[in-house]
Amino acid sequence: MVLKKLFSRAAPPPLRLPSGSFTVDREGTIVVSTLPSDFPTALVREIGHHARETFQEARAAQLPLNELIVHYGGLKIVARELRGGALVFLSPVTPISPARSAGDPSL
Amino acid sequence: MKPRKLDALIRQLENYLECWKQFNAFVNLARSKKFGAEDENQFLEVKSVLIQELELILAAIEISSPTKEDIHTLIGNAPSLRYLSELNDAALRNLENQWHKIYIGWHAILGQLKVRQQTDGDKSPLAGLFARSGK
Amino acid sequence: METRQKILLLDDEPDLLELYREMLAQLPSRPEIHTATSGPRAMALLEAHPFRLFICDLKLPKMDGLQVLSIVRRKYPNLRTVVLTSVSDDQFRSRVYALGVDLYWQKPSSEQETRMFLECIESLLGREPEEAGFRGVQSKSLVDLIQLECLSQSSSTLRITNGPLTGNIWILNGELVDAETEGVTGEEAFRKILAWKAGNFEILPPEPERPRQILKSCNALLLETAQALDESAGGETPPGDVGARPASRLATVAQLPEVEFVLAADGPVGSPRAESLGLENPERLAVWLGRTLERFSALGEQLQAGPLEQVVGLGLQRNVALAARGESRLCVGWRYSLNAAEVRERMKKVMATWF
Repeated sequence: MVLKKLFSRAAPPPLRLPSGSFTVDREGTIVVSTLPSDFPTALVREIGHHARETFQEARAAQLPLNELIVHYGGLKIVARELRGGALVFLSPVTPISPARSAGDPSL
Repeated sequence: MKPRKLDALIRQLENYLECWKQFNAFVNLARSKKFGAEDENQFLEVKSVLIQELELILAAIEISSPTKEDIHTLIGNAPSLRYLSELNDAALRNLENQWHKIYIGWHAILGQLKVRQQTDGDKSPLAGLFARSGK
Repeated sequence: METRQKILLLDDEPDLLELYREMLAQLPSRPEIHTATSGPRAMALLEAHPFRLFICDLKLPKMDGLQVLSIVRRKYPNLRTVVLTSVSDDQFRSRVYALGVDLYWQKPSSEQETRMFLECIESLLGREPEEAGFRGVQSKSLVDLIQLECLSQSSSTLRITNGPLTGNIWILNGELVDAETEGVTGEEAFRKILAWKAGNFEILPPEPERPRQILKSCNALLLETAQALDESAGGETPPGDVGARPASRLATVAQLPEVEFVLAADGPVGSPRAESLGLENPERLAVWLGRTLERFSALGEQLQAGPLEQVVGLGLQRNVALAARGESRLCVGWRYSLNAAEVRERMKKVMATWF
């Protein structure tokens, strides 16, 4: 039991869901980002890559899209197509303040 | 400027122009008065992106127009969607005029860079050897 | 040899057209300039060739420039568009940009303006990679096709087949003349045909002798029909119409207001088993459905963002919503006029009964 405790790896801290945005160009390079600096760049790149790939494949499937909204339990990702690039917004969703958007004026 | 850098700058400017279009889309949203808290946040993000990208572009090239002041003035005149939605028609049109002038200005710059890319490409000693075959 | 990019220029004044053609032909990228003096002619050219850029005047004799642009933006979302007009109206400019047009230019009146105009045009050309093989909508909806035939003042006969059913719609000089299906004609037949969510259509030669039975304008009838379809899909079974009873879950969803298509898939993402209603070629979309849900599901795990609930896509032609439960995947196409929140809420209701 003691040995187990000595050699067990500490669980990685949970990732804090970021709030902010970034843009990627049509080659997938991150141009600018307002995300917190401690949010892994690799993940930012991956999010951008998935958004771009989804837009490209939708276009190839004769379903051109200009905006993608991905709803998770704890996060909302909005991606706007920028002629091959993308502008991506990340907003954590909490039970207290669910993200609202156009068509649902709250102000 | 090296060809690769020029290519990267052109890509950056294309991306930048698309972000400027987004700014105008938000102005239209404000005019329609159909927006929520999330739209406000996104508008703020778009403005941050525009300012950040501007610095990157100005670090790469010198331009006389649009000026940094023009852009900062426009961004400053659009603090929020709520503010824009409460502007009278004339004031909103004036803001759009400012946006349009900047937008056209950036397009002209992008056009100049693309011409440069073309002429640099034509001058390359390899241009003839590796000409792309037509589709 | 490099392929020259094509520009289509639309203006009803031939002299101005020639002037701009000469001007644009001198652009450093040496594009190929094509011209049209009318909306219908421009539409035909866009259909026939892969253009990179479309430059359009606003004031056109038979087709309103904004109308042309609205159709062009929906049909060819990748096509770059520019308005070149003598109209000096900020309101028009706002409307043009709201359509997603790339540039609005008042016809240049000085050397400096002309130079800047040409630089702006050059900015829309260049080495941006073009997607091979895709120019726009290859599979048109019946409504799009009818609108296009009418707006372009064409004459044709549209034959639509939906399984064992066949219908015809006669169009003469851009006006709906008659329709026929299942033993009925005129507006009633038109509504029946439009109510079919799936089908194949072909464009046949016109029949000028066909007696006129439809008196309403194309737009008015399309709108009326759309409204009637929405009302009947809202829950009431049309009297005496036993065929309206949904025979499958797909049909149940397909009959909901503003649903344009339904696609259900399961099995391997790369080669799914799929069934659909309202789609001509569902295979590719079924693969996209699986891959999109798979990649965002995996991303969600990496981000520790909680379960993937739904993916909503907004487009100029139509919107979509995607969801999955286990291996079962669902994609519903919604009318483009719905906003993101509306699509999400309606999809939630569909998901509640589907999964």
